[in-house]
Amino acid sequence: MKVEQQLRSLPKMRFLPRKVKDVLALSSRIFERQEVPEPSSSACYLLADVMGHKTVTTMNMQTIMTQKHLEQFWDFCRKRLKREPVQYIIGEWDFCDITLKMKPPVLIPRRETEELVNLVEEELNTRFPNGATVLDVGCGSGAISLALAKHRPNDRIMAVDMSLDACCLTRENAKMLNLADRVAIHHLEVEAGTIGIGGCDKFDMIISNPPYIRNDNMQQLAPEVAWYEDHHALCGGMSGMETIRKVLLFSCSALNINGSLWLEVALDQPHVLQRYVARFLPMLRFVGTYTDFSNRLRFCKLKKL
Amino acid sequence: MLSIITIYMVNVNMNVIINRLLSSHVRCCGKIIKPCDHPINYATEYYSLKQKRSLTTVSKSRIENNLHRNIFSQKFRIPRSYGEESRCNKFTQQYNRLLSTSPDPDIAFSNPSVSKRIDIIMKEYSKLQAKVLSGDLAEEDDAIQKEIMSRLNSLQPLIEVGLNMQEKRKELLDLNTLIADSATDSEMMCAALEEKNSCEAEIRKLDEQVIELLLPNETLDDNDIILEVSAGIGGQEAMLFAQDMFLLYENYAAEMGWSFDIYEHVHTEIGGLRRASAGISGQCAYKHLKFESGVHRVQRVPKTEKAGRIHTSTVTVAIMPQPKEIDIVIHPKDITIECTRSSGKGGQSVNTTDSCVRIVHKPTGVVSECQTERSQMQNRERAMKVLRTRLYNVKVEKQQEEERSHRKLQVGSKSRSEKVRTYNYQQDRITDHRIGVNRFHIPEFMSGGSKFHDLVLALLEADRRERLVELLEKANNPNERS
Repeated sequence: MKVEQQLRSLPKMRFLPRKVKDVLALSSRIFERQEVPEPSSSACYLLADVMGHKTVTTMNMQTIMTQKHLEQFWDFCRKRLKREPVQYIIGEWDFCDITLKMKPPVLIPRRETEELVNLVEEELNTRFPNGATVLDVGCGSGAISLALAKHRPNDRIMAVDMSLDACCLTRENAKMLNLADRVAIHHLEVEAGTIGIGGCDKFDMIISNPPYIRNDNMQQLAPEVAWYEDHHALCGGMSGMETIRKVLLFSCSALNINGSLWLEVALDQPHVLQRYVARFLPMLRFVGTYTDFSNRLRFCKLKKL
Repeated sequence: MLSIITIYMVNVNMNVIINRLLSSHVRCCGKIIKPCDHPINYATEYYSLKQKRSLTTVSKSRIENNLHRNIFSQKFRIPRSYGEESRCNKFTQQYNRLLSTSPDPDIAFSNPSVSKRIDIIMKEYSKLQAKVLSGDLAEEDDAIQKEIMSRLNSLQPLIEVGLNMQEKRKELLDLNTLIADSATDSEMMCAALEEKNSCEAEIRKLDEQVIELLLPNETLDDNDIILEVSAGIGGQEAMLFAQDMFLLYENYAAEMGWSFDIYEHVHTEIGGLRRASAGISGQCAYKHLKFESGVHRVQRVPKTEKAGRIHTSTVTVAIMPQPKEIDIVIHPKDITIECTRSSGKGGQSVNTTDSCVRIVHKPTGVVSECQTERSQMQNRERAMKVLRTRLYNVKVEKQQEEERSHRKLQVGSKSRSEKVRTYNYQQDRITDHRIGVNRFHIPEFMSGGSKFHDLVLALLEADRRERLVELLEKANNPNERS
């Protein structure tokens, strides 16, 4: 606690360091003492943002910071000590090659999802080189749909989310990236009976990163996730499969023949999903699972028969 | 620089002539010379026509002084803006002209080894052409066909110049006989003399072209590069100097109008640099920076030193050409991609800002790492680019190693372990060990401005001459040709 108290009075102190490298060293030490995860990289990102850079690599370590910058930086540090995620504090983050605005409580896109986009794009490029109709279920900040819209100018892309916050943020991000006319955003929850979204009822591809954490695991989440991010975007019910099941049922009717469904799920879910589909959903065929960077099965591909 | 001085030694009176040329139009050998056009060339011409070679006793320092005052300050100042390659070229062209008008036995068409070399090339050309025309080529492989065609194409300009040269020489011979003939009347004589003058000028021009064409183009010159700076011996001090070096190249890239993307930047707490890599792309980036790779040695009193002793530490610089197209194919199964946080569960239950990517190429053990971007995908792309470049570099180095084994080049060896330069802060002096040249004013040099560019050009020139001499030696002993 002592360090935090010290920090609270810091901006008034005379001997406060002003050089970038000293400020970085002090703040990472404070984070470390307070057991904030990733202490030094947090400090780096916060400082870089205050100084108008993306990362500290492009900065000169000998620069003297102005009083205004210092105040803002220590403000940011106070937020970080309360375990607010860096992405929310600086209000933006990169996903693939686009920069997205981040606002609590909308889920921060995870780095694994970048790979989902890669896989999806690969399939779209081989199967639908001239454009396709794509739906992003549970768009959150709009990461998947906007990254796709940027790379594939001929696709018709739709994004839905049950949270109004998420829909608003996606719209904002789309405007910021000049993709507002490319992605249609709808505020609704998909269920088995949902028919027709924005005047379109059949899709070539559905992509989703649905909430999949089991109820009993919700207690063990890190404070960054549990305190700041939307639980509706994280919790997948008792079995963790509730939303996934809804998406599967919806896809049975909403996919074109041979259309595919891509899902990002928890590490233990692919085989559960496979059995479930084989048993209850004859309209769908489980095609396969794909691994992420660290070689773990995380992405599932299904096909409408 | 040396060669300019040699010219000067020969034409010592030149500063007087130049001053005259600059002050007014001068009528010389029937030509009106405008003072604004390369005074030194006309002066040399004027001079050689007069055949005066006196005053060789003037001291070298005075020559140097005059040189700087009269030539460099007027015409041969290194262009201030390096962004435009064309202006640099203009400079080198002037510089080259300077060289070729010098009485240098190495580089002239009349040199027997040069003409021998050209004869060899012409024979090869006619042989290849005969092969193409006779239709034998169609029976060969595609690859061989392609090779022959590209060889023909590359020889074409040289052959043209060679043929032109032969023609001109023949013309000159005819003119000479005409002039020597006593039967020619005065009007005819006058015309012949004029003709002879223009013919000689033409030959000189062709001479320059031949020299340029004879030198094989360095194939990689226009490639983009990856620069790597890493601290060597000397602990913190070496890291501090590594930071200085990195800034030097960053500034130089900015001066030249090249793009400079930092891929990796590992710094220390006191502001030093453990290692850093950056991608530089722009016109002739490799050409200008290729002689930077090697060990740079610094001698100074470090900031960290309390007792005021001079330390010697080193920084290693590597310049690697980036593969242009798909020169390097990497199979996905040959690489492993590692992320630092891969041990955790990942996915929605964890929020991390960490996006460091490390790629290992299993067959060669080459590793590349990137953590300068916030997005993992971008980091991976960059790391792949670096990996591709490293692998390509391994290939290129192997080739160069082979070349080096039967080449004894001072400048062009590009070996990574070679000590290339010393920066002595006490004496404010920079020494390039390969060409034995000193430069002064380290702060100005380290800002990557004209001082640095000057040295780069000097290295390029030295390399050019070396290659030329080597080429001529090769022509003299055609049996050794590989």
